[in-house]
Amino acid sequence: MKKAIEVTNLQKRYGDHTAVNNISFSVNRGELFAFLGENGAGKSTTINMLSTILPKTSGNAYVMGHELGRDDDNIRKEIGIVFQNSVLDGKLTVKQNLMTRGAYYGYSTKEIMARLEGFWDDFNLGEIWNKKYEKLSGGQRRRIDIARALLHKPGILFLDEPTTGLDPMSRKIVWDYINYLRKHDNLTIFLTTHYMEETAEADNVVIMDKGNIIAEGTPAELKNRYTSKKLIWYTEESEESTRLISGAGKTKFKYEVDHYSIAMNEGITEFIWNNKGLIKDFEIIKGTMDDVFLTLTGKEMVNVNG
Amino acid sequence: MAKLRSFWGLTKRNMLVFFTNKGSIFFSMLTPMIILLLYILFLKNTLLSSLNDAAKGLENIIAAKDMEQFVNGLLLTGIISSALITIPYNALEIIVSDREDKVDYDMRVTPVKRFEIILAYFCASVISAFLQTMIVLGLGIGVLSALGEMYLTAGDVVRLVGAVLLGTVSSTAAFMVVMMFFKNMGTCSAFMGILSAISGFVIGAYMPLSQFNRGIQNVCNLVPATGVTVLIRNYLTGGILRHMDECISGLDGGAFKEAMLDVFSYRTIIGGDIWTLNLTWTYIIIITVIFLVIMRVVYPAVYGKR
Repeated sequence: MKKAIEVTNLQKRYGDHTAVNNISFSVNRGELFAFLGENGAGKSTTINMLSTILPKTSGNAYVMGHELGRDDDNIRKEIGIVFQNSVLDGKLTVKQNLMTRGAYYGYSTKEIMARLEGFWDDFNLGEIWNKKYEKLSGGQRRRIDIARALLHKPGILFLDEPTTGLDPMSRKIVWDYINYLRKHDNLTIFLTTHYMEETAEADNVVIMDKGNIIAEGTPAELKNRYTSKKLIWYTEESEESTRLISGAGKTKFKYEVDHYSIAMNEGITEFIWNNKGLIKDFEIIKGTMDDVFLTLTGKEMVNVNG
Repeated sequence: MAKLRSFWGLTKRNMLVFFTNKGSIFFSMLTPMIILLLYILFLKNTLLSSLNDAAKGLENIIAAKDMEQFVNGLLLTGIISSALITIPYNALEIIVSDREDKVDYDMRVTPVKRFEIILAYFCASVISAFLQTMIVLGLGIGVLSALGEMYLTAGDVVRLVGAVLLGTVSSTAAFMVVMMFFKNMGTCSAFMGILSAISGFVIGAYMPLSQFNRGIQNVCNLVPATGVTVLIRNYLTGGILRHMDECISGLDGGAFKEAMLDVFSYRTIIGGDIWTLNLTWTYIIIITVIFLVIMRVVYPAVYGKR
């Protein structure tokens, strides 16, 4: 499969501080690639290097076959970016923002309008066309940010924490459109996020911590590698139940609100079967990306819903 | 064509951002407004009294109305000359605010060359400042013409427009170099405060430079903006000065006109040498070219290198 991005030993240093430390990874064309990590992990710095904004300190990278640092102009033609904080002008209208940005790529007014036709209905552009960008809701702004990033038909769309600060409805609208782009335009999407749920749909995930890559793989691979299944037994907390669980050799368990959460290991099926008279309401759940991150870093990540 | 469109897109965006920011427009006109206020409060009387002293014995020959128009012309010179400093500075503040808010990232991820981005800032500032100053000049001449005759010839008006254009280019080129050193809007605004306070004195807008000692006059006259003020003063009030001199018909042997040229600094004097207006033009152009060369060579080397 052709690679959209290939990174080898990429490093960014600011004096004594290493923001990105010799990272290597690759992104296949057409895939949704998620870059996961806390604030300050080095995600945005990596995107800024790959998008030619920041010069790299060392290492190599190829973006859509073009070498970073040598063929930057061609890289810039191939990439679109939705920045963490919007870079459009608040005092200008949606029309003025998109028209001036389209012109950056050498497009005429006619060409920009033709390109925007594809977003016109999906993004309700007609409704907000002459409104000032600063007067739009968070969701509307994000949609305009995405429209701006796609004006020149890029091959890769970088999304740097695109849903941070959005309400659930706006987040859903943004994600529906991202999924639409993947399916219809075969766009490569490079997503950075610190929301765990947003990585579930990704083809590949890289987890960063303090400038280093600490794990990579598909969400399923990461969950299999770094988490275990759990038995959730819904019952009231009692000495008898606790004794029962301990007596069966299950040492990793805890009671939470209305259930026991018991780490799965060998003999769990027998345990359920042998106590079927008591264990009536239960479920077996797989580990989540939260658990993956917790295992790897010892830190809790942000949950989309809270 | 595509290159031109992208350059114009950047320039247009910078101009739109400046003209849609009411705060920028207000602060760019603050010093000219202070000069107008000072004029109404006391400057007019001070200038008229100096003029009457110089015209002792000629009261019946020089019309009081002409003297008042002459002083009004000196006021408009101060307003236009100070506007040629504060408007370009405010228009260029966008470089620092774009850098601080990382809005410049949106330009740097496009195929537009770094120097084109810098040049677009320069051109947007020149166009914005020229347009705004010409509006102020037009209004000023309109008001003064309503009050009485200004004796402006077509040649005076053409040279006046030329001096305004040179002043705009010269100030913008100088401030482009200054803006390289500002990392945030706080320091940028602080510098603006200092600039507003001292520029009125340096260019002789608050009081004629002839009031200072010779050393200070030499230093002030080396500042290109002071030279621009000399040019504007000559072209804007030269007509009425010629008219008053013609009214005297040589009765004073040209003493009144000579006194006016000295007292109100109609000539650039450096180290005792009196420069012709052509030499003043040449000096300002040379200094402007030096600033433009610094902008061309140094700016691309430091721009975005973080």
